[in-house]
Amino acid sequence: MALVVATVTNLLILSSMYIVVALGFAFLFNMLGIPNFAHGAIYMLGGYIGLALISAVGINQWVALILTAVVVGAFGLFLERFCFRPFVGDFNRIVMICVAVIVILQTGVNIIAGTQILSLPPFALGILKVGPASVSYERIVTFAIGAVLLGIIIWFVNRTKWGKQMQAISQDRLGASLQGINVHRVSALASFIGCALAAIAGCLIGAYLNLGPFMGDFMLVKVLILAILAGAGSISGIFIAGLILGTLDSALPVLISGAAGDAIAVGIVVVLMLIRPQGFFGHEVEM
Amino acid sequence: MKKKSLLICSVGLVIILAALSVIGCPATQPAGEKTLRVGMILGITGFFTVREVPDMNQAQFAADIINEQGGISVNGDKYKVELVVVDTKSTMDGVTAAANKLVFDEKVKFIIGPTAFFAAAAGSICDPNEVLRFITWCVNTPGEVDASTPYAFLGGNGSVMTSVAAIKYLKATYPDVKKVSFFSPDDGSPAVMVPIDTKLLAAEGISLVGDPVLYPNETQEFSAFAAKLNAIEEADAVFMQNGLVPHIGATVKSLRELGNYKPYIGSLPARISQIETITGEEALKDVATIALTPGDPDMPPVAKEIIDRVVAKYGADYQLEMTAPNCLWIIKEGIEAAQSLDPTVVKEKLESMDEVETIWGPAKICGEQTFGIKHVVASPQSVQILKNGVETTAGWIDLGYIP
Repeated sequence: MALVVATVTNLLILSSMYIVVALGFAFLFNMLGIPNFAHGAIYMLGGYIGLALISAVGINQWVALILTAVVVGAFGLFLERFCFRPFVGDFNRIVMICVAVIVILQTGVNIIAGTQILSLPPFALGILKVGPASVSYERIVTFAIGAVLLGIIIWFVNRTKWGKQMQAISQDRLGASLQGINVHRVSALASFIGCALAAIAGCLIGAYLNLGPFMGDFMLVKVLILAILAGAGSISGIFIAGLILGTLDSALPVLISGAAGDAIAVGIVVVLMLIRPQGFFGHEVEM
Repeated sequence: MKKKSLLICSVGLVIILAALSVIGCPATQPAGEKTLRVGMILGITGFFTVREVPDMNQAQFAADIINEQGGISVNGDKYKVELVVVDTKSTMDGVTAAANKLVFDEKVKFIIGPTAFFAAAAGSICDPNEVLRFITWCVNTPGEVDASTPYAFLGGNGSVMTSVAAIKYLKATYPDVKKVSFFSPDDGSPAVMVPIDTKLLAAEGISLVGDPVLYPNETQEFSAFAAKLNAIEEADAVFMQNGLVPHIGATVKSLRELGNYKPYIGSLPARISQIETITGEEALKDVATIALTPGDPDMPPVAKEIIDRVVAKYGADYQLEMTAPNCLWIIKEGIEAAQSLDPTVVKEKLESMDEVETIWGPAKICGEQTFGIKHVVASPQSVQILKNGVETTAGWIDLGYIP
């Protein structure tokens, strides 16, 4: 019974963690069709910048979280202008640029702090016990922030002018441009938001787990699965995809021993993609 | 215009590469001074950086100490030690490339590293070419140190040694613990280590219960595995074999979150202060690992000297691997005992010895039954715990002779 309760709790928390991390990638990929493979490295960078602001500058950690989002968001503007914009629609070059960004960021952080085990201070202390369930407030905070961010992004995409412009670009970039939408400006905003979301995720996960120069590699795989399962053009699909991935990653280690669990999880995702290649809520995109 | 730009870029690139190659050239050797070049195969970049860069720096301090003492004595000559480090990028391909470079380009005869499961990738190059290798860690996967690796010694440390120490500590500190659950990365080592640990535990009256809980090495979030460990209710403690600091940190944190405060014994080299960075202080009650503590009054003199230099240069929180320096020390002792720089002669000399001086003091040369070859240097192990909020040595465990 305790194992079932713990697994269900893990499922919810892990899903929210994945959603938090994937949101930024999905935002850029699903809205603008830019597969930012450097998202994991940017997520890692966010964690380290957050830590630097808290421990070196001495800023309150919640303020540091917001500042980190702004700083990394600004880095997103740089990426969009100089790395993505010149190569929009050219998948090969976008991939190459992302690989370069990953190597530069990982190597840079590795040289500066690669030999140290670092972690951000927890955003909340204590453990909540409800019946047989037991979960730290830290994980509840991650869950809550994930849910709130998801809600805000869904609202932003569906209800605001900017969001609707992004949807238009997602459906037909040239058509949107011909309708008077400033594609570059909308792309820049999307890149800012995508990177800021990655930074928030880096800080939250960096507090709950720990920081490492390569922490983004593992998450990038999850993020790719999540974004593809959700489908291009769909942000709300992230919620369902996050739940599926969270369920697989919480339940399979309990049922199957060792690394086989990961392989089976990815296998299930492949089967889901065969059944529904456009994802749960998305539409087909051409790279 | 395009051709001109291309030409300028090409010339610029050639100049930069030429400048780099000049910078990369070894310094000219002073007349009359002899040098022994020792290769090192380590992951200076990539995911193993956290372990290998500190080990590399600590090996350099050991080399400095040897050189300050005059060098390695062979037939009246003194050889200064020069370390030649090649980065594996923490990949198997990188290990093979590094071994090729050291054996065929650098023509070294003694190599430190690689570590653990990386070691097999260097064996196929080093063994046929009779280059003597001292691996820094061993998780007992095939091809690390066994009958198929006649030129590989385990000079650093390994799962079997940390297991012996951890189990002896467990028995002495928690005599009521009779059953433990088993937790390990799924890196190929459990197939070998579960039977060995079962035997070692049984010798102390302790049994393994439940199925071994294994996790992929890349795991970052351990709550599912913690839930599985927590579900093995009959276990009095968790016995963790191998893994890295983030692995043990995240698992302990998740277990404590579930209200599981049973003893957690880590048969792995992880400093408690670093685990504390992830878990916080409270979670570390009844957690022990195999690790070194700066300022430990019982630290053997050579190890103390290296650690003092590490702390002075990198700070007290620096990762203390200390396996590569031990390998270097064994190379020095082996060469001096053999009075030869021929790797085969040194190998045969070490095989004939029962004990060798290490940075930890005298250590047994053993391992015939467990490893299939008498190429294991079993050094004493330090158990570490958190006491009053400070990482503390809970004691030194003499491993004795590992069959």
